[in-house]
Amino acid sequence: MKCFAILLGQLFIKGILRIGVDMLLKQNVGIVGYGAYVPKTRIKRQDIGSSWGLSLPPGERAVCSYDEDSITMAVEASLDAFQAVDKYGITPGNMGGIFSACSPVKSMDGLLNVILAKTIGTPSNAHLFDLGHSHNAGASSWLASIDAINSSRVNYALAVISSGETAAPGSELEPYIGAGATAFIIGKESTLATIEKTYSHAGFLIDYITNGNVIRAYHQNFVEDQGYAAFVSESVTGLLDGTNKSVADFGHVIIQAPNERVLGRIGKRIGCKENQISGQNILQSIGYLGMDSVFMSLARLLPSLSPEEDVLMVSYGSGVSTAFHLKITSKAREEQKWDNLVKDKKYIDYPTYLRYQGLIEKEKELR
Amino acid sequence: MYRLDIWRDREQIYSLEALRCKECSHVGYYRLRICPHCGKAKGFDKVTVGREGTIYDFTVNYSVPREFERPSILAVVDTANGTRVRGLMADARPEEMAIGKSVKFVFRKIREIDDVPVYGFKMSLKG
Repeated sequence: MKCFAILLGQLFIKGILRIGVDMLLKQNVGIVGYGAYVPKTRIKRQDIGSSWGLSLPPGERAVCSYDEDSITMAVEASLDAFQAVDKYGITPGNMGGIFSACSPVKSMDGLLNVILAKTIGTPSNAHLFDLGHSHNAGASSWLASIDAINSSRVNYALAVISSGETAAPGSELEPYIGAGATAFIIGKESTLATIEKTYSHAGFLIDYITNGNVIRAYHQNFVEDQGYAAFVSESVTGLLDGTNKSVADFGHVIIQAPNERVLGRIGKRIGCKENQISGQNILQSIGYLGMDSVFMSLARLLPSLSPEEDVLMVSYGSGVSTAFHLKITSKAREEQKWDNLVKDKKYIDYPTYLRYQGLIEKEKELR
Repeated sequence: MYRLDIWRDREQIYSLEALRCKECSHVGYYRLRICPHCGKAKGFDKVTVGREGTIYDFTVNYSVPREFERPSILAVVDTANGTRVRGLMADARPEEMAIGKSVKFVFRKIREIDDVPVYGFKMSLKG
C-alpha cells in the first residue's frame, strides 16, 4: 500500500497524471431540448465608437431594453425551450432541478430562480441552484445539471444561462458586450446531442469585476494572453488527453472569446482551421455574451448539425476554463427558428442606450 | 420586500392564472370571491390565461409617472379562452397599434418599487 502511494506520488511529480477535473461520462446524458432569447434592441458599434472618438470594426450588439434584464431573458429562453419539447411530453413539471447562471440584477442577487420557477411552473420540490459571478458560470450550470442526472437525483434538469451585463461607458468592452439567454433541458432520454466528456482547468486570474450590474475588465491584452488563450489551451489539452482525438477531428469548435480577433488567435493556438470555428457571426450580430457566449453559439449551431458529428465547446471565465465534447445523436427539431429570433430588430442611439442601462438618469424635478 | 399586493396576486402575475365561475363559466383574470357576471359565489376553477390574444382596445398615455417609459401604451386583450386581460405593451410604437392585431405575452420588468424590480407579463405585437 505504501509502495503504491509512493508510485502514485512519483507519477504526479513527473506530470504523467494530470491534475485537473476530468469527467468521462458513462451514461448518455445530453441535451433534450433548448431555447434561446435575444432582445430586439440593437446598437451599432460605430455609434458607440463615434461618441468616444474611436474607429471600430463593423458590427452591432444586442442590448437589454429599459424593461429587460437577465431575469426576463432567462424566463423567455426557458419558455421557448419548453414550447419546443411540449409535443414530446416534456413539461416544466418534469424538471427535477433548475441550474441557472445569471448576470447580476440590481437589488436582486440570487432571486432569479424563484421568479423563474414560479413563472414557468416547475414543481415545488425541484432543486433550485443560483450560479453566477463568473463568465464560466454557464459551464458550471451544465456541470451541475450533468452531475444531478448522473447521480439519478433528477431525471431532467433545466440549465438556464442569461447574460445582460452593462460595460462601463467608454471602456474597451463597451462596443462588444451583448445580451441574450439560452435554456437547455438536460436529460438521458431522446437526446439531440450527448455530452461525451468534460474537463475543467482552474488557476488564479482575476480578469473581470462587476460593480452592481456594470462590468469592468482589466487590461485587455493581459486578459487575452493570460486568460483566454492560456486557460482555453489547457482545458482543450486536458480534454483530449487520453483520447485518440485531436482538435482537427472535431467538425465544429466553439470557443469563448470577447471579440473576433481574439477568437481567431485562440483558434490558431489550439490548432483549429478557420472553417472549424463557430461564433464569429454571434460576436458581430449579438455581441460577446459572457457566461452565455458559447451556449448561444451552440444554440445557433445545433439545427445545422447532423448525427455523429463532434463538437468541441470551450468556456472560460475568471481563471476557470471548461471544455465539453458533444456528439450529435439526432437532428435538432425544426421548431428552433434562429432567423425569427434575430431578424426582428430595433436600433437605438447611444444616449438612449445609456438611459436604458440606467447609466444616466432623468433629473428629479424640484417641487 | 415585495409589496404585499404583488405577493397576493402572485398566481395572476407570474403564472397567468385566471378563475372560471362554476355557475356561469365567466372567466376573470383577477382574484374574485363573487362572480361579476352572474353575481353568485359558487366557487371558481383555476384556468390559465394563455400566452396569445388579440387587441380589444388600447390607449396611448403621454403623461406617465417617472419610472415608466413615455409614451406608455395600455392594451386590453382578449385571449383564446375568453379572458379579458389589461396590460402594458412592450416594444410597440403608437403608430403600430390597431384594434384586432395579434399579440403575445412577454415577460418583462414592469416598474421598480424602492429600487427593487417588479416583474410581470406585458404584451408584444406578433410578427
